[in-house]
Amino acid sequence: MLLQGNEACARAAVDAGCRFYAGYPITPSSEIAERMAELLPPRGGVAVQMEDEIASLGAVLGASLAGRKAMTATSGPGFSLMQEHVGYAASTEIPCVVVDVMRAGPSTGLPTSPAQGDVMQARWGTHGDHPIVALAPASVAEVYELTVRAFNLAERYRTPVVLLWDEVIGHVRERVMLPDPASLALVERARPSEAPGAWRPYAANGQAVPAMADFGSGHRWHVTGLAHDERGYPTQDPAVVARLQARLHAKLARDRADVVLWEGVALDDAEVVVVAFGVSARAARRAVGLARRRGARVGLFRPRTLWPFPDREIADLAGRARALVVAEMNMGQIVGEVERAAAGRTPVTGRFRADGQPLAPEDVLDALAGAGVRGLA
Amino acid sequence: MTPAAELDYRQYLRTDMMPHILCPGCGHGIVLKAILRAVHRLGLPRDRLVFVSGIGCSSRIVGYVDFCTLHTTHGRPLTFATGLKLARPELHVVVVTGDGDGLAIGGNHLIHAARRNIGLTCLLLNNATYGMTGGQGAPTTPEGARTATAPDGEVEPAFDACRLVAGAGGTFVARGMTAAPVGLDDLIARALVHPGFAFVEILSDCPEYFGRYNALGHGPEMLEAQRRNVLSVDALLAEKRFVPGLATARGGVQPAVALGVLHEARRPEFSAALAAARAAAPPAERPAAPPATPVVAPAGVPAAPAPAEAPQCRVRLAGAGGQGIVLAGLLLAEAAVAAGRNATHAQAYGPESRGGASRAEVIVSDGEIDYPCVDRADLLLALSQEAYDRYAGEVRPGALVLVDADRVVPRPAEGVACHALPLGATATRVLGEALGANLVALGALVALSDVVTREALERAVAARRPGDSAERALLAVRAGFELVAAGRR
Repeated sequence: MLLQGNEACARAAVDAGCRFYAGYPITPSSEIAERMAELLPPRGGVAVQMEDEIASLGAVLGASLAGRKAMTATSGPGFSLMQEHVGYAASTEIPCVVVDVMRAGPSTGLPTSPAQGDVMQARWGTHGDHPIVALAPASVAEVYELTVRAFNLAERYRTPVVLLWDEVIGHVRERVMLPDPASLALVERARPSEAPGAWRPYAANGQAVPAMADFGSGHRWHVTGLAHDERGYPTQDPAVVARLQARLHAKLARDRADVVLWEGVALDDAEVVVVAFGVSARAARRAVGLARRRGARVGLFRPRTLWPFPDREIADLAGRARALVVAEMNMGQIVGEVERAAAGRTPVTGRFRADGQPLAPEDVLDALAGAGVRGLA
Repeated sequence: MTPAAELDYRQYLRTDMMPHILCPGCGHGIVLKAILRAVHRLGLPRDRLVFVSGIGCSSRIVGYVDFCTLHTTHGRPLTFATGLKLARPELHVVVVTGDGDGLAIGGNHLIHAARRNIGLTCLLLNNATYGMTGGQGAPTTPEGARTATAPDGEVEPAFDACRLVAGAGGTFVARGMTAAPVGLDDLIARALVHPGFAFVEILSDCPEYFGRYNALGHGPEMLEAQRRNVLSVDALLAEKRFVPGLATARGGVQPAVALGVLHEARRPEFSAALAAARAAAPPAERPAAPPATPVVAPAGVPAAPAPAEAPQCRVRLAGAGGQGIVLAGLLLAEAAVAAGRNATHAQAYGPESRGGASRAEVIVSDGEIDYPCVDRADLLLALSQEAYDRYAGEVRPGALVLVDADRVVPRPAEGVACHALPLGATATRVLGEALGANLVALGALVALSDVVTREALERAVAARRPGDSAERALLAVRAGFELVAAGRR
């Protein structure tokens, strides 16, 4: 069937067990809200339009505490408003999925045009330190796959998971074969096995992620965005706070392979490697195909997970490739991460485009030529 | 029900979280005890009761009670509470907020919760100041009162929280005060059993800041001052032998207030209204659950570039918003997919729903489509001069360009086959309106190019537009076929 990216997200969310959606209309994400409003009520779920994006993520967190898998979707300006609640979810470890269909910014920018300018907002948009997961699909089929994955990661690690794609991926329709929902491997958050009195809400008990009780289920507990101890009570004890911070960071680092996803195209003998995600990776993929057919030894590294960033893989490529070329639709965001991972072992150049237009294969070919790849003309 | 006098409050408290953070003379502890008396008296199931609060002194009191308690972000407790209530309507969700939390930073959420009439109990503890941050001015600070940020006296008028919530649609609105604690638990109990958005403003005191800055004395003096500012009480409080003060006889920093239940109405609670709307929706309007999908693994992007590229036909359809450009593109892509080929459809548009520029890009191939946007087109349809001028130069050598002869004056271009046909006029002739020009154009484009077969296009049109509407759409598409055939004859 021919399916739109945003529609695939809604279908995947429902198939992944999402039963609560709260959102606020914003281009180019609104199709997700519209599809959720159709899909959820017949399945016993709730879709609600809130008064703003702050309220939307607040409602999602409330519903998640009540035991529902929950999601919201927005675009850059709304994602900015949600940041305080992203941080709250990270601190209190409430699972949630936040979709940001990126449009050109800053500010209101170009509401109907694609961009990839929210990569750093996804990582550093909140105050304080916390890890985050951000996934970046590059096709409609992958929107489906990674939306399911986002719910699984949110539940397994009790973390907010951000789904980032650009307006092109959100609105493009592609031919996809969706899996039978019954065949999906779905993850549910661990619920406490202890009796209510014996349970300590934030005691990990040797696991990286503590079990979580639904509000109203009989386990009474306190949730706060203040630094908290294993009972969930506010604390200013430096040792307890340091332990909480360390655990919050360790829980994602522990199962890196489960979280850090990527794809390589023609990397084995590649002398110059393009690093790109989302629709930019589609342009890069075409450019790499054209260049290969002209005899150039080039490849594509495509992060499917942007956060945590696949730095080890980039470091490995930097040891083998003659140059890395980063192509992204912003003024240079993941290029800094690539430079950090490459650590000077190979030159890193960037091809940036932030004019509201998708990166074109010609842009990537031009960047490859700039990196010394011959015979592309 | 257990008489309040017998209540041992400790059974509801997290004593291991004590000592609490409230200052001596603060009124919020009086409110906490009134809440617990009301809960106890009603015998609400303890595990079904959830307390949600924001940020501020008042919001801290929920931490000390042994229920499910949620201490959220500044101003946002009603948003979390809305999610909790919609997810589990059987829960009693009580929001404890302050005047800054609920009326300044969270004021938008308050009016919308009231408008929705969602079944929450919202207790707003009004001490007329920001206590936790040091006594700054609040939206409830009375005019003339001194605060840390208004040393010469507040010049902004204060909100009347109860009138605000009643005006926004709240269905239970009451005001109590810490100086009348016995009546206070009655008001809270009434709010807890109200089926809808129940709001109680509770006048409390901050002797540490508001009292000190305005020379109002300590806790006892401020409580006494509360009583003096009461204009009237309702029957419920009168029964508790609460006597109104002398508000009309004196000025002072606190405005005169009425106490008791100030507004009551009945209309459907939000989650119940949602359920009722769903039950009442006629089956035809109720979107069906999507049918079971074929059991196939998600089609990913293949890992290695193909040794040779499968031929692609890149089609750009351009015109003005409202001309049906996006629909024409969709029909073309659906026709290709239904015929077993691969296709993508991308759209570009301005902020206008009608007018402005509109563009659809369709790629048809028998192989992988790596890049889903059209950089330069093999087929270009332009239904407006602006679209033609914008895109005529972005075509490949050997491209085919189709324009509406009545709207577009094409320029001669080498290596490009340009066809100017009366697309709009034909739509008007066949359908009686120019609105079907997109379908005539689609028919002509297919007839000129064979990007998909005519049969595939007709099937796609018929599938998308059932009944009479399909008949009319097919008329337009076939008129497009005929335009091309007539030109060739």
